[in-house]
Amino acid sequence: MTSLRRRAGQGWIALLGGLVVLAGLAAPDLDRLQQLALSRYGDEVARRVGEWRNMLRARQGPGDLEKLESVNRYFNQRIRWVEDPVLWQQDDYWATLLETLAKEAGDCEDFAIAKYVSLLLAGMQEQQLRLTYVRMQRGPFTEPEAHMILAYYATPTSEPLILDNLDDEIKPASRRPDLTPVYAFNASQLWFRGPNPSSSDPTARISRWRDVLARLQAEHTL
Amino acid sequence: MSLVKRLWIVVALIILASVLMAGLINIQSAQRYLASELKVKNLDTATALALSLSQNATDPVMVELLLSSQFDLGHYQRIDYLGPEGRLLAHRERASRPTAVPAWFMRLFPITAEPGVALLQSGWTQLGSIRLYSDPSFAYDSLWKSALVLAQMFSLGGVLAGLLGMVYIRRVLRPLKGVVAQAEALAERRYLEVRPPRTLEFRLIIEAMNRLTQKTKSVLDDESVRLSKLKTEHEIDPMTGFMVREVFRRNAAAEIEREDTHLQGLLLLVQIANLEELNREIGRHQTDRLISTMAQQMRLALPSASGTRYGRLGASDFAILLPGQDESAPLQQQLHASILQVEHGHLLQLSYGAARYGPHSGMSELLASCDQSLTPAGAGGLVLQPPEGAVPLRPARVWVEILQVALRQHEFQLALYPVRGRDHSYLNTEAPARIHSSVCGETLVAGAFLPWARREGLVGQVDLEILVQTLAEVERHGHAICINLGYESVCDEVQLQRIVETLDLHRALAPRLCLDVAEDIAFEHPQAFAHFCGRILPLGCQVGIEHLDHHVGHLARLHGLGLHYVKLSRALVQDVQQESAVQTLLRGLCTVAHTMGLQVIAEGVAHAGDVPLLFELGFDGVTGSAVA
Repeated sequence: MTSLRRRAGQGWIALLGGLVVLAGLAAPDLDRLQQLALSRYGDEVARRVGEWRNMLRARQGPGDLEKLESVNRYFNQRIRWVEDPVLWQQDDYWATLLETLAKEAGDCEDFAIAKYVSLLLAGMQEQQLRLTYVRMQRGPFTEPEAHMILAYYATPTSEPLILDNLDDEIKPASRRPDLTPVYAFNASQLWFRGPNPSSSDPTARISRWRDVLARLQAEHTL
Repeated sequence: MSLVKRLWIVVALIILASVLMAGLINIQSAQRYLASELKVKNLDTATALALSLSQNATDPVMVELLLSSQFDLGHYQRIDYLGPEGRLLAHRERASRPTAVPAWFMRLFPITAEPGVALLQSGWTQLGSIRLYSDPSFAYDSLWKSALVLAQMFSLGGVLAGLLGMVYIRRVLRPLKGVVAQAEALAERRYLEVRPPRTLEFRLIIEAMNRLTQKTKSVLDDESVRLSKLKTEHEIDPMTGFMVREVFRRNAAAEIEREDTHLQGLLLLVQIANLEELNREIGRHQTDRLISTMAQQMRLALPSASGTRYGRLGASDFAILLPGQDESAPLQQQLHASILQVEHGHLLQLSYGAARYGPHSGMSELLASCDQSLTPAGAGGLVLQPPEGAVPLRPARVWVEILQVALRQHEFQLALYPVRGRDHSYLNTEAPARIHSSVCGETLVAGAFLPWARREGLVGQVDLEILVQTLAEVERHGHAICINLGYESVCDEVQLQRIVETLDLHRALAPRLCLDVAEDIAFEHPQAFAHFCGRILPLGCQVGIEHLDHHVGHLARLHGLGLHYVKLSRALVQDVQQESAVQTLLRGLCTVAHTMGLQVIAEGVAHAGDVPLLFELGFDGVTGSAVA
């Protein structure tokens, strides 16, 4: 009886949630991502997605450091830094990987997200990656800035490596005295992969992070 | 199961299903909403806690303190602190708050709030993560409360909707009662017309049945008209509208023999002495016209009491039977004076004769004595000898006393005569009333005391007394008894109410009670009679017309009233053997009556030889000395 009702309840959710729900249940599928790029943005972007996939595929085998190196380089070289108000006409917008590739531009969050997603797809462990809010003081007399970087922890207790769009070189945290970490997070604390799709849940849209995660999943990237 | 019940069950099921569905959907969405709210709350608190820990927690004591404060002040069931490697370093937990929500409800609508998880770090150093669980009992409480409120509101709404539905079903199906009543009436050969309702299907049925009713009515009307014409052709002199000789003799004899009307009266004879001369002098045509107007004038001149009969005995002889009249001289003068007013009336040479009759007078002797007493007009009135066997006259006050004593001391008796069906079977018993009077020591028949009762306004009381006696008789012997009701009982609302009340007290006996109403009352007061039938018939009594004679042509007017039988008067049936025209008439009457669902009973059958013939003509019963 109860299970029947629960199933019926899921039926209603499916009716309400529609395609978004189905998309939300899907696992990453890069072929479909590429198709989506083609239909949404055209040949050029689709080709770019293909390039990005080639870069990932080439880095499947080697160790974590090589993966970090190539992903960091790939995005730092190809993506221009543009402020959200200019690029998206919004104060703050967290773009998905596909959107960043399509625009070939983004701000620090977009870099961090794109690198984070790419590294996960390249087979890296989620616990090793943390998107981190940092306070950045470039020089003794400059104003401190809010910034976001991706930190890589080889082990939970080790010193992290910093992937920064402002610095092409990957350095350990101790060599980045200009950065003070404020708060770190990754998908594990918010993201529950499985039959509870956040995109059908109205409260999911409140958080930017959950929002971008939902959109990533809808684009078959996560 | 009735249609209304079935529809009602369907309505109830639909309402129940929709209320249940609406309630389920409502509770489920509340359940989902609560779960997601809990999850968001867990996440937000975990994040906030992690933020402050990341900024301030420099040692494990600090971490524990911050966790404790969050736990002690907040509404959390459990907070876990896990190290970087996932080892549980500290935790706070309390038992779930006891709740009034029944367990089955929590099983049906589980609220599974995921824990809020947040990562901790100090500087670049990972400190692990915290996991925060809410106590779902508050959410269950709120869900349970809202479910109860919902249940109340929905059951109220359901009851309201059900009531509305019931009212609507009743309204829609109300015409069905009319349809059923009409169909049942049709089965009993009553032809009701019902106003067509608005519901299409019912309207079609009712319209079809109304058409059937109208068709049957018109067939019956045509047949009645034909019979009436037959009767008129056969019985009535076309020039004067008086009965022809034999018919008059028959009718007058029947009237004289009837014991429930006046026992005494007058027979007047008017003779045109110079008919031959008139024919010669003013021509046959003119003479006929003169006679025709004279006849009309005669009707106007004399009192039109019930039972009065006019006959044309020959070309120049006219007879008038006047029941209840005693003095002939004033009536003759009145008659003569008004005939003289007719145009050319003075040309007529008239002679008048008169005779008194009593209960046992023979028609031939009466006519003979009239003949003998013929005196030319202008010679003054006649002084009449009382006929042999006539009841000696009593003064009015004696009659009043007889009646009052009879009512007071229950001196009424019923004389019982069986009504026989085919093969001598018993149908019911006719019970004319008698007074066994202690005042005069005689047994008085209805015809003797009823005229006085009528004059003194006691008919209602007499009818009621007889009714009570009859009911007692029915109860005692168990057979069906017919009594007759007079004018007051039918037409007077107060009297009718008393009769209804009396019958109401004896509902069980009512089906064995037959109430006869004389044709004059039924046909001359049709509205009162219809009202009477409407009141009496639902009580289960049988109602019929008695002494049906003059109004046979109007028989069709009775349909729709729901009567049970008609009794044809003695005058109509007594010559059935001799006259083939009478047979034709009676056969037709039986057919019409049967079509209307009425039984036909012949009254006053005196010759045993008539009985088989009457049944052959279609009668359902006979009464009278031949079958007593």
